[in-house]
Amino acid sequence: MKAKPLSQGPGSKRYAYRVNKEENRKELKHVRIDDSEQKIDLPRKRFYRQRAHSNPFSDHQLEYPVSPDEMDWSKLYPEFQDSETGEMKSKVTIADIGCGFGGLMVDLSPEFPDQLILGMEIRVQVTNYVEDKIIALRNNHAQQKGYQNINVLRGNAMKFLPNFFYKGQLSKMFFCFPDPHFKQRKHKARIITHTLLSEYAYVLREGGVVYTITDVKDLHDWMVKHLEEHPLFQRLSTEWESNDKCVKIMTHATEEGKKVERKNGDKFVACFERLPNPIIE
Amino acid sequence: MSLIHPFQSAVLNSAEDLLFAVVKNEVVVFRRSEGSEEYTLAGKWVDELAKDPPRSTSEETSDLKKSKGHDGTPIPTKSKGQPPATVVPTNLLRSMTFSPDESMLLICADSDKSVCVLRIDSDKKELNLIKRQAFPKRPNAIAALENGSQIVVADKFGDVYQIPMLEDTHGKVGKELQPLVGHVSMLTDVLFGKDDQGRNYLITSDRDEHIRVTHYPQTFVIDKWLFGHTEFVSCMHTPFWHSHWLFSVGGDDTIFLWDWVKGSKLSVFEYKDVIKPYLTDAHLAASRFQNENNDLIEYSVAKITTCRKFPYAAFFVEATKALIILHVDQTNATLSLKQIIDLRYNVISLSQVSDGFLVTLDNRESDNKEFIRLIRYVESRDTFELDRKFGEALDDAINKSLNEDSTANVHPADIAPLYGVTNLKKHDEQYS
Repeated sequence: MKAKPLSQGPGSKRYAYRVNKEENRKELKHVRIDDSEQKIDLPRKRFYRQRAHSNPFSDHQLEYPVSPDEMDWSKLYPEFQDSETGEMKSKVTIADIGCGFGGLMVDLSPEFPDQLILGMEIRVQVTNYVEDKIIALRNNHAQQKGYQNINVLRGNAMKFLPNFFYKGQLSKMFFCFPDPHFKQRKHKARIITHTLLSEYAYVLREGGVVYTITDVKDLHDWMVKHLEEHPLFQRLSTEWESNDKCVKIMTHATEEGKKVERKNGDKFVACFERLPNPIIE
Repeated sequence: MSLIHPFQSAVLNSAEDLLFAVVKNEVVVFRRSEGSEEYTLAGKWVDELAKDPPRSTSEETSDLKKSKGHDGTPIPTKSKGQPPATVVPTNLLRSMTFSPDESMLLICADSDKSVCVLRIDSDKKELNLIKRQAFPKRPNAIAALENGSQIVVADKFGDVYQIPMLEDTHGKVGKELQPLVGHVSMLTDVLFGKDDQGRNYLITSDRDEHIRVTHYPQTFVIDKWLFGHTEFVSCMHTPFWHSHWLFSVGGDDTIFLWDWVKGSKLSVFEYKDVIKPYLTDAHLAASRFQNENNDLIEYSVAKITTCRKFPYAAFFVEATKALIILHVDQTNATLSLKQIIDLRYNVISLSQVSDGFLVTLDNRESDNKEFIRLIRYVESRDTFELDRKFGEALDDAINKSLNEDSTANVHPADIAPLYGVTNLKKHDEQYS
């Protein structure tokens, strides 16, 4: 069944809200925010509703660099650009793949103040929401330069991850409550597959960690099976999990995680370490 | 009225005494008799699974229109569930390649999405199907491992599978067999490479802009990507005389030359101005993608290859009558225009020979002439020239042997689609 199209009419409240926010975004997205008197309200999710699913195989009009060399990170993390040399002082090392409404990044931000955290999300409106939220947070925490190390990109991580990141650039990748794609013939659309794991292994450094969490047992089993079968990943122990602060944040911070909690649902966590490459024959 | 179907592709073995060609859903072999320049038919194989698409569009629809005009009866509408009247035409047989020792011919059959291995029996002058392996998704390209034991197959869904060349694998693919490598995009080409340490690599290209270099057989370790294309990649090629080099072409206005071992871009050649005089109305974009002035043109390079013996590369833009030859400076790794060969008809396919290039032509208007042309480098004059004798000898052989062939003889309306590469171009946003 196809969902009823959301009201996009110029008269609707949603439309007015989106136009207003878009102007705001254009103005504030790429600039350094100095101490601001005026507080910005956090965006409201109901104005950014969109179908929950997106087809990762279709040709979305996406913006992505031709190669990692061409990526201008200063636009996303202006505070981390050296004002004299123009060089970035840090690289993105943490990626939240399918970051949704961005709750995880917001909670990770103060935990890793020197590292850059990037969320990737394929749905336009959801990406806009996260952008607006980050603008508001940066504005409202301008004095302590808060939330300067997080940002979001609209992108298809299944296709274009290597366009953004160099080999071994990332130290953590999060896959939180991914689309379960229940149907057998849709399994290739899942974010964890045997062949995609080789790409994730490429962008992860040795010792880097893949975090997964889902409320769907079947998907959990699928992700664990594929990660365990892949020669470049090894599962981390439950003891490791219980001592890791990211696991704690991931379990409680994301919007999906909170929703599952409200409904008393299960949450399945699995974390994997990136092993060194074997000797190449 | 019928004609012999244009040849979709042709390859010549290194001894140049056997020529293999795809004619509609049939593979034919011509052999040159020793000490002579004449060719005779030496074997054929028909893909019986490829059915004729229903004689479509122009005639039938005009008949229907007429009947409506005369007696006013409405056109009967097809009930739901029946397949649509016009079957989307397929390429029938694609990506014909030799096994490394040239004893086998590998080819992708669209009819049942399979890869066929044909044995070339030179003594008996036969071509026998020895293996046919169907895949879950349509195979687009094949490459064989140097020792000939394994072949890899790149499919429309983005996966690369490996199967033994000879041993039976029936039924295993898609269930027990996991892909070696996967892109989340249609794969367009695949080939093997080897570095100075003797390590093997698998190089794959896709309908996004990606060329990926992966270790083999440890295909879970990706070595690198070659970044630079901004449109789909249609074809890659490694020259015999420089195994670390890789040419790549596609929807860009640029020919790329890479050192795939180092991961560096060596050189590019912009062909936009060169090809301009050869573009026609056939290159106007489809109406649904057309701009307001109706002057948006879309074109792409379908294929690139090199001479085996000389440092020359040749490519053609789909649906043009020109073969463009580039000189490759091996010291500085630069590309420059050497020569443009004007042909009477559109080039459909291109393959390499030791001292030149073999092309097949869309000769449907020619009255069964000029099926295949060979262009050779003539050292004494430092120029590429058409080998007229070869072309005429083959035209002769084709007319003699295929005149009565029920597969090769077709009505002009039944000619298989010959131009599909530019369709790989991406257009607007589908759904956000």
